[in-house]
Formats: sequence, structure tokens, C-alpha cells
Amino acid sequence: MVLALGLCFVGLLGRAFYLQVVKAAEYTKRAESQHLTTVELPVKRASILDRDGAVLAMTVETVSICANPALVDDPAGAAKLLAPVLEIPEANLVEKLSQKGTFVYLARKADPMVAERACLLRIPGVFGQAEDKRYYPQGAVASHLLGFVGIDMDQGLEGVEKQYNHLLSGKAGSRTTVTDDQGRVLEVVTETPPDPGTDVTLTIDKDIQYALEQILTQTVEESEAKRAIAIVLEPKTGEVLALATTPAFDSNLYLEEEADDRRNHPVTDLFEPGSTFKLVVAAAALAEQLVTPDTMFTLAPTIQVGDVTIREASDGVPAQRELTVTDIVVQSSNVGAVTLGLKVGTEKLCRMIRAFGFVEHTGIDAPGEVAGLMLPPDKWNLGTVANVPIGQGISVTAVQLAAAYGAVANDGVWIQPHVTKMVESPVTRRVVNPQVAAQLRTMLTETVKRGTGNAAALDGYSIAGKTGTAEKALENGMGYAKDKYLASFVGMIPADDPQVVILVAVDEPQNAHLGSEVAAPVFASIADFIVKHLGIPPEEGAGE
Amino acid sequence: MRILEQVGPRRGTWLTFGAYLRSFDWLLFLAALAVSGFGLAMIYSATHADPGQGASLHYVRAQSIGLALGIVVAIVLSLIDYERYARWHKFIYAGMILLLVLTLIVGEGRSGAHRWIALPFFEVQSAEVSKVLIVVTLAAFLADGVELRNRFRFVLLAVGYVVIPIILVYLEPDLGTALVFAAVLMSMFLVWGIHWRHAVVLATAGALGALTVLRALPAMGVQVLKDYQLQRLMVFLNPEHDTSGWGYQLTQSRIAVASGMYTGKGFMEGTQTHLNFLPEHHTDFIFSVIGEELGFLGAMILLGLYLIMVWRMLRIAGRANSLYGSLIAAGVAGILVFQVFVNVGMTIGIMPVTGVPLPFVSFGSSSLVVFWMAVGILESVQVRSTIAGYSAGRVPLRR
Repeated sequence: MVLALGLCFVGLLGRAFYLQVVKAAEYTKRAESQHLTTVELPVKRASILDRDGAVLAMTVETVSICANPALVDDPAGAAKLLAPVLEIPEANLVEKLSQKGTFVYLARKADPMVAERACLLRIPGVFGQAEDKRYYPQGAVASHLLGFVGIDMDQGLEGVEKQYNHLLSGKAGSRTTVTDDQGRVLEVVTETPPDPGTDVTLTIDKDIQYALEQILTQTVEESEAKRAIAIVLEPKTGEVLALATTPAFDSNLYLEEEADDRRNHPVTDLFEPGSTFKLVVAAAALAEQLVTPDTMFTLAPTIQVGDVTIREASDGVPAQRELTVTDIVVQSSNVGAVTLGLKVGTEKLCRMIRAFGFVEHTGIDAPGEVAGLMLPPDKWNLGTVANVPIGQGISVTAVQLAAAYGAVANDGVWIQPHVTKMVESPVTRRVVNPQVAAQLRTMLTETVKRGTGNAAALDGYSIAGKTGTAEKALENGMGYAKDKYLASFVGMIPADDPQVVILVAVDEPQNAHLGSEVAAPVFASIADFIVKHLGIPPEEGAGE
Repeated sequence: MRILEQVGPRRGTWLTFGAYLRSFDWLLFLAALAVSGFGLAMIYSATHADPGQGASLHYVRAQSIGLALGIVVAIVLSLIDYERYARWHKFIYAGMILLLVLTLIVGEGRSGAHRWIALPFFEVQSAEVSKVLIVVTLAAFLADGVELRNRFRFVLLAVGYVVIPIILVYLEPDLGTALVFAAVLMSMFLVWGIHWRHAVVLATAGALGALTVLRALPAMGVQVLKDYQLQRLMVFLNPEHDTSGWGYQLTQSRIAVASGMYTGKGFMEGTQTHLNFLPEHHTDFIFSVIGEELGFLGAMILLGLYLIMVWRMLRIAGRANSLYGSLIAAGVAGILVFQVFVNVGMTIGIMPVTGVPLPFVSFGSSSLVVFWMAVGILESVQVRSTIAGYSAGRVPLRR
């Protein structure tokens, strides 16, 4: 009897020991998982502002209509009630409401009025849930630059939203509480407050941006072009005041857009620059002190480099003519540019191209930037030697080109272009000395005054700029398409102390295709808006 | 002060108050008091924050009253010569049967059960009261028939003596108490000196009976135990996969006890108890609260106190000057060991859920008073056997 009794107590103590000592950690964890609840403290995604503080992207609260299918007794009946309110096909709703599981979205981020009407139906198992939504109050303005975020609000997918996601998203906090069996919170154990995101201020001026987009849209319509892009750069700071590509899209409705239309083309796409690139050859020749602006060349209508023949763009060029270096730029002489290129030599030309930032990424703080494409100097053949001086056989981005002209505008110092104030000390690099830069600006001014850039002229202002009409390379890389052009104009205003650099490129215009006909007038209308908007005063005796 | 023995073999003899105090088993009394105090503290801890009971002291107050009543009754019973009960055992037995039958007729309880009889000021759980009644009556029955203990027919008669109240209690339904009666019978048989052959036959019959009730009869479509009772009995084997509510209860109990570790989370600091994850924390599952808040150490102390009580009870059984006294002590010890083992075993997952309270600790005045009554009766056995021992020279007279 004593033995049995002893066994009882030993059994109890043994079992208690097993639970409370051997298995204690495991069960303690289970106890904690029961009474400790950790919830995420959501953080509101920060805003994106333009340079003057206007809100371009913000976070608003919306209501999502959700359902717990397990609690919906009559999916068909519920769907019938909900379909007209949510404007979703009944069959769709029936399917969602009949799913297994305990949670399904019926309509995410619904209109508040719709959400309220849906909730007022009081269908058991159907409920509203507050959910943040990204809202772009300016609609389509700067959408390529701003990008967009995923529907769960946690990840910027494109544009500044992606580039500065780490700043905008902040960090959700968490709160661990003691809860009883009914889920009532009794005590807060630990709380990490959410770390709010940082607003990102752009260098973009939303008014210029808007004007740019309007003008480009009109351009695309009129010229029946595939696309038009433009960049407005402040050369002294590297700040991008506007950067647009049309057709535009509305970031609020990004899912409905073609992927290609959502690309930020000025940053992500390469093109052969054409004549705008002649500035680089001129800069190299001047910087190497091989020529002065007035050095005279005797030029034929064509020039033979190996088995490649380069001819002037227009017919009716005399068999022999005398052109200064300035004239070569002003008249956009292909033969002149190639002649200068041969004089400079491959190595020095390559160095200058590199110095202008055409090979590397510019470092602009917009995602997806590509670097330029240029053969390394030791791979150049005679064709390359003949083509690069006239801006063919090399691919650059619009941002690279704008930044290169920015360096000329900024007395020879290249500055890393950027779209947000987050870039506080942009990279700078001297490309040419101030005298050469001034000489180049004078050539560009002459180009607008009496050369191919005449259509870019603006009353009361001196403008420096260069046209470009590039043949577009075939997609297979074998030669050039005969009827596809990229018409461009890059210019600065005012010419002697440039405040802005403006790049315009029209892709595959249909009616006319020359940069001087298609792009230069667009430059003029943009410049017209900008001088008024920025209050750049007209100059005495400038222009016509 | 002298106490005149009114009834029994020592009728007309005087017991001096000093001898009474000297022969009183203080260790038993104090251990019972300690366990009761332990219980009171744990009930306070478990219930002070319960919602909906108004005053936070509701349970503690009720239990304190029960404890005070129990101690008074125990002292009174210790003064009464226990041999009196033997004389009246048939009447007591009849009264007990009547009480149990009455309970089945007018008794009240949750969800159709008949557990207690409502008296003007309190409710009596008749099954609890019958525990002490069966002890004093069965002991008398067996002591009377000690000459016949080698006759199997008498043994069967004794079994029948207990089976009647077992059936009545089982019908309430109160499976736990029915099993307690069986435990009383077993422990008394052992002290009584049952022939080993008879014991083997009874044990075999019992095992076969249990098997029949649990397996064979349900297979034949006869439900002796209701489904929920069967489920309750079996769920402890695998509580995590049970959905009946008892599985949840048992799992919660294990979590509470095990998360107490060596020294517990501290008095009134048990998270599972206070956050209400552990239901029934002041009644059948009070040991889970002890395990959670006081840890393995607290469990050892409590079980140690019980062990002291059992030791003193067996000591009384061994030294009693009559077989009747020995049988009473054995019966009470049997109840105590059985209930502690079954109740604690249930909370830590080695025994099925049968619904027996933890002696002296679980909330419930009936159970508390009844256990104190048992202590009082055992003190009476102790005092009288010691006094008798003086004259027989077995016990040295102490100053």
C-alpha cells in the first residue's frame, strides 16, 4: 500500500518535473504566443514634392471591401446585392465569395462613397478595411519621373518612388501587448513607434513640367511622331527643372498603361545623337588648340574615309568651299565635322567624348539609367572614325546629351544631373576651360542666329543651340533606316550666361524630319514659357 | 476541564483536556491548515481579477467561511468518540442513501445534472457529504464482519454495500465521486485484510467490467457512459487533437503548468490564469494555477504537505485501538491519495478528466468542510487510541 502510494506521488512529481523543467521552454513559448500579440504599427508613406513644395505624390486613406467567405452563407445572394454597388460582375463576386479561406478582397481601395454603400448593405462576412492608397494629385504630370508603387504600398516600382523607396516608405513600428483570451489588450509590453518616411523634394518645377508635357503632346500630335522627349536643366546646379516624355500616363492608373509608355525614356533609352554631337568634335579641336574658331578649312561636298563616304546633308553644296570652324558648326557641315575629327584623332576625340560624360552613367537619381554605347578607341575602324564626329555610330541618352550641353553652358564644368534635392553635392568635372566653353557658346549662338537653328530663335533673347537630325539605326543593327529620324535640338538661354539648357527630341516625326524644322520650334515655345515663368529678363539688342 | 464520554465503549469515562491536547495529532491538523491556507491564497490569486463576480473577494470569502466552518466541525468531531458512528452505521447509511436519492429527485446542477440540494442559506453537494458518510459506515460494516472476511460472499456483500451509493452518485452524474467510493473500498479492504484470492477475483472483475463499459457495450450499442463522458475520459491521451473543449482545457492546463518552470511566474503573476486562457482555474484546475505561479517548487511543497497528511493518516490507521478506527483512517487516506493523484494527474496530463476536486484547495465549501470533517474524525481516532494506549502501556506517558 505504501508502495502504491509512493508511486502515485513519484508519478505526479516526475510528470511535473518533466513539464516544468524539461519541457518548460517549449510551453513557455506557447504561453507567450497565446498572451503576447505583436501588431504592426503602420507608417504612412511620405510625399514627393516639387521644388516649391507642391505635392506631386501623397498617401490617402481609402477603404477596401473585403470578405470572409467562411461567414458568407449565401454567396449568390450577397453577390447580387454587391454587384451593382461595386460595379463588379456578379459571377466574379460569386466566385470570390465561394472561395475557401477566411479572407478575400472584393474591391481594393474603393471610392469612399462606394465603400460606404457596400458596408451599409450589412452582409454578414463582408466588411471594409482601411487601406492607404498612393495618390498623385497632379494626375499625369511628371508621371514618368515619379513612377508608382505596388498596390500593397510597400514598394516603389518605378521612378522616384523606386529610387527613394527607402526614404519614402519609412519603417513600420510594432507593438507587443498582453491580451486575454478574448483578445482584449491589457497591457503594452514593448512598443517601437513607426519611423515616418522622409518627404522627397524634387528639383522639378511642376509648372515647367506641365508646360513641357503640354507642348510635347501637341508636338507629337502635329508631327505624328512616335514620341517626344524634353529636358530642362539648370546648368549651374545640375538640377533638372523638368523632364518629360510623351505620351504621358497617369500614375494613378499605371496598371492600365503599356509598359513601354511607362518608361522614363530620357533616362532609359539610347539614340544616336546626330549633329548635336558635332559640338564635341569642335570642343576637342579647340581644347587641343589644333584650331581656333576662325581656322579656315577648304571642304569638298564629300569626304572619303577608307571605303566610307560622308556627304553633306543637303544637295547643292559647291564643289569646293571655305568654312571656318564656326561655320562648320553653324552650317552643320558633315564633311567639316569629319575633317575636324580626323585632325583631332581617335584617341583625343574619345577622351573628349568621355569627358563630356557620354560613356558612363551620368548618375542621375532616376532608376533605369543606361550608359552610352561607344566602341573603345582600340576597336575603332575607319567607319567609326567617319561616323562618330557627326553623331552616328555612337549611342547616348537624352540626359547625357543635356548634361554635356550643360557643361558648355556652365563654363566648361560638367555637373551630375539630378532630379531631387536629395543629391546635395553632385559630382562636378571640368571638361574644357572657360574660354573654349565661351567659344563653343558663341558658335552655338551663331547657329541660331544665322544657321540651322534659326527656328529656335526667341525675340529679345540670345539663344545658343544646335540641331540634330539622326538617322535611326535599324533594330537589327545592320545599317540605318532610310525614313526614320530622330529630330533634336539642344540649346541654352540666355547665350552669354545660360540659366537653362533645354533638350528637345522628336522620335520618328512623319511630316518633316529635320531637327531645324521639327525640334527647333518646340525649343522656342518651351523657352518662351520658361523665360516668362522664371522671369529671365530680355537682353538689350539681342535676337531679331 | 474534562470531557465526559457519553457514548461508546468508554461511556462514562473522562478524558482530560490536557490529555486531549497532548494526544491530538498537531502535524495532521497543521498540514491540513497549511494546505487550506495555500488553497485560499491560490483561489484569491486565480479569481481576484475575474470579470463579472462583483467583489473581487467573492470566492475567497465563500471559501474562508467554508474553512472556518470546517475547522469548527473538525474540532467538534474530534471531541466526539468515533465509536458512536459504528453503533448508528445502519441509520447513517440509510440516511446517506436517502440523501443521494433525494438529490436525484430535487437536486440542482448545471445542464440537467443533479448535484446539490439547496438549503435556505447554502447548497450542499450531497456527493461530497456522502464521502465521509461512506467511510464511517463501510468501516463499521467491515469491522463488524471481520470474522467473515475469508468468506467471498461477505466480500461481495461489502462490494454491494458500496455499489449502491456508487450507482446513485453516478446517476447525478458524478463519475469522479463514484470512483472515490471505489477507492475507499479498496483501501479499506487492504487494511481489513482481504484474502488475496478474493482481491485477485475482484480486480479481474473490475478490469473486465471497465473494459465492458468502455469498449464492449458501446460496440454492442449500449451506452453506459455517455459520449461526452467517454470523450472526457479519453481526451487526456491526445488533448491537442481534440475539439470538444476538454482538449483545449487540458492543453491550456499543461501550458500553464509547464510555463511556470522551476519557481513559477510569481504569486498573482500567472499570465495564462489571469488572462483567462485557463478556464476553471479556481475549481478543478487550481493546481494549474499553482504550477504556473509557484512552479515546480510550489508543486513540490504542496505535494509534500499532502504526503505529510497521508503519513499521519496511515500512522493513525496503524496505531488505532480498534479495527474500526484503522478502517476509517485508511478510507480517508484512500480518498485523499486518490483525489490528489487524479486531480493533479489530470492537470498535468497523466490522468483522465473525471471532475474530482483537489482536497482542501479547490474552491467549494462542501468539499472543504467534508475533508475537515474527516480530519476531525481521524483526530478523534488518534486521541482515543493514544488515551487507550496509555493504559495499555503502548504509549509512554508524556508530561
